[in-house]
Amino acid sequence: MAKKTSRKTARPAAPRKKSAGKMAASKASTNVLVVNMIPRALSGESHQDSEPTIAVNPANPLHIAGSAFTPDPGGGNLAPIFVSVDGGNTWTLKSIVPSSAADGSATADITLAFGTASNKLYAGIIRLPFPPGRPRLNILRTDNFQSGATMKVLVDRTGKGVDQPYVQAATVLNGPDQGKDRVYVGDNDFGNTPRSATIDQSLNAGKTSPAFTAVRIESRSPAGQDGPPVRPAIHPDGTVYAVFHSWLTFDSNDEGTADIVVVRDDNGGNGPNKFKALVDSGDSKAGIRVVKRVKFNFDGFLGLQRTGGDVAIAVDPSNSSIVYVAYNDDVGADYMLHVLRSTNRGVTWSGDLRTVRNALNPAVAINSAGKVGLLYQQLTRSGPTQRWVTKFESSTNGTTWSAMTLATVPANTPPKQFDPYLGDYEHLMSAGTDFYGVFCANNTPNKSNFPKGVTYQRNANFTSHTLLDVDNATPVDVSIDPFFFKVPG
Amino acid sequence: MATKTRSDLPEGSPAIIFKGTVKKIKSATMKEVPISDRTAVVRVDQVIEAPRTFAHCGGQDLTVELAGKKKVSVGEQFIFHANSWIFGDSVAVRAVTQERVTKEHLALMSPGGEPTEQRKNRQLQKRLNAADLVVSGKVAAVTIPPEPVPGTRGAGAPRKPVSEHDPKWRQAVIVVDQTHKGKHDSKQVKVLFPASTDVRWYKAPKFQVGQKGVFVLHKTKIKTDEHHELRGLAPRGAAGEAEVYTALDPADAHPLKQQAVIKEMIRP
Repeated sequence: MAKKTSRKTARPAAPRKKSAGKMAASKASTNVLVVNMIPRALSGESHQDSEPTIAVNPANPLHIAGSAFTPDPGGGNLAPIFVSVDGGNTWTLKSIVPSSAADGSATADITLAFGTASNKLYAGIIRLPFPPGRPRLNILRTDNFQSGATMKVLVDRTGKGVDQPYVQAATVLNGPDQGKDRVYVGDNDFGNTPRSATIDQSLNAGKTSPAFTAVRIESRSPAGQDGPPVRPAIHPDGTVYAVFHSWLTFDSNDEGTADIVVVRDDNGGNGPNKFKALVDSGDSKAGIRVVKRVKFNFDGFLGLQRTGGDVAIAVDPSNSSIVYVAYNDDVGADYMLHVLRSTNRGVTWSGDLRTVRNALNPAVAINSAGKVGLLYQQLTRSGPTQRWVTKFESSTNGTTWSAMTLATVPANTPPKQFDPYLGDYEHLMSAGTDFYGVFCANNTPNKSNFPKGVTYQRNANFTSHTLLDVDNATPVDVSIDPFFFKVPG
Repeated sequence: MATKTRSDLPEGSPAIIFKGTVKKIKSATMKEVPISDRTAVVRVDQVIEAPRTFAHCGGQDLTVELAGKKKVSVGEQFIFHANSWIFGDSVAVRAVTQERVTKEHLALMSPGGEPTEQRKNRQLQKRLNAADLVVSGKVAAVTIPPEPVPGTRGAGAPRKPVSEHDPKWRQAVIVVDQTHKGKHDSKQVKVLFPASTDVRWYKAPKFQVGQKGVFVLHKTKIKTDEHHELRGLAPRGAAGEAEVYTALDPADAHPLKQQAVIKEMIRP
């Protein structure tokens, strides 16, 4: 029986124990890039800039946008995004996302994605302010993310509340819809409980006033609602997958069970039976139950980071039949990360290809050569020596994995300012053979915390391990910062 | 022309108010700024009001996207009211307004405390102006709001929705010592506040039993049907709505030692 973990009790750290999946000897890569994204002009900041995402422009991978819970440094009515035009080597912060000065000049959730050939940047956000208990969905677009112009609001919906929007986008490359941007925002829409798992989609999101349709992808009868994470993945041939946490039970202690469900659409969400291409042979309902009855605790913690059931999905850009899923569940006292694969368009699934104890925020991506990348953050050791270790693993066959540590930082400092401490997700994607990702971590300027090297834009003394203000002299408190990374394929 | 003071500042709270001298037009202090006819390099002569991020800018050059279409010349001095725009190796701001510096601005530019304090005070003033009730007192209890009476609207209904952004409402009972603004018939006032530490709610004051202070309270209508823990607050027969006092802004709770300052700021 799973040991109850409440938000008041952090889980024990993972002891050295073998996990599923073979590990290959790690090859040192000299070309891994890790960059602290906070610009020099903000060297004095000590905000908890958690929950990061990035979007690499596939049409020009030098152009990258990033996001986190970073507020507008001026406290204005626009929240910022991070912008790089040199492949992630340097970053600026631009305030272009609608927000509210009275409510913190930030967002309550934000994800970003570029159209694959349009240069348009899309965002799914929870916009501030929103009525208590009713998160407000905004879907946004800018046609030039460098311009500094405020992003255009495409969808503004509160209803009974819409949670955790997660945007993906692709430009149709041929056929009658060539050039149109298809945008899919996975979200948890309380306006449609109990079947709350939703994809808000537009098949022509680049036009002046695009229409969005809320596609309900839950076909069963969950316990009151589905879980917050609903994640889409797009293939250029029109195949779109989505994974979500279909809640089976949910008790008064905030503990529950869920199925990990994958749905698929073979025509980009176009047609009468949207996202119903996969039918589970067990109950003849749309959506394959990849894993049944996993346990989760919506009030649980791993270290200072809240848990509650993570999911991630990626489709092979060169073969839409190959799809990977990662998810978390409670296994005894552990928060266990699992990786599985389907090679037949989601019809059947492998067992665990990889498991990692007490690791969360899984993100998966597959590059153009079919290599899969896996990003996660693992809590190691115990007591005051606990560390958050951020790892990137890759595999060419899904069974033998090569790992590299991107960051290993103290887990109990800085103190938490709010939840989530690191983020309810982080992000990994591919462009060509390269992997691009982002994670959040303690920003102490200590080279040994970043085994693959690191570059800071903000002022820092790596000898005294001290952050410095814009005057390059006044010490600044350690905080949580977003770190961009690139791993050549 | 009337003397300009801080109370003349435009509503909407620009991020930074500063006196600056135009050094270069159609220019910028960093390459990431899209240069236009309206971008200028400006030396900050004096920061008048700003958040911490800008407080250090005195004596530095930054980029200003000028407001309006009026021509400006190199060497001219303005009072800029601006919002943040781009942060890189330097800073770029967007002016909401800029006014040529005249004698009427002397009061505005006179030393009146730290720029960050000035901004904080203006934000507090805004909250006080909007408040329905301002009291001094002590928090006697913090409770979960009462459950609905069995058999009434909402009783026994399941919790919904479940979200990481759930405010986790709690009710603080304040024993009132003094009322500084508004009217309240009882010696006690009940205040709803979010106990959640989620990114949406962490800045809201978290009331503690025994806490003494000055509390800036706002009447708020809440749809109790949409909050599982508030269903017991709806008056019998009412359509799931209750009017309650809330304190959701960091400027809504202050230590008792601030009482004199706050009383002074309250406008009749």
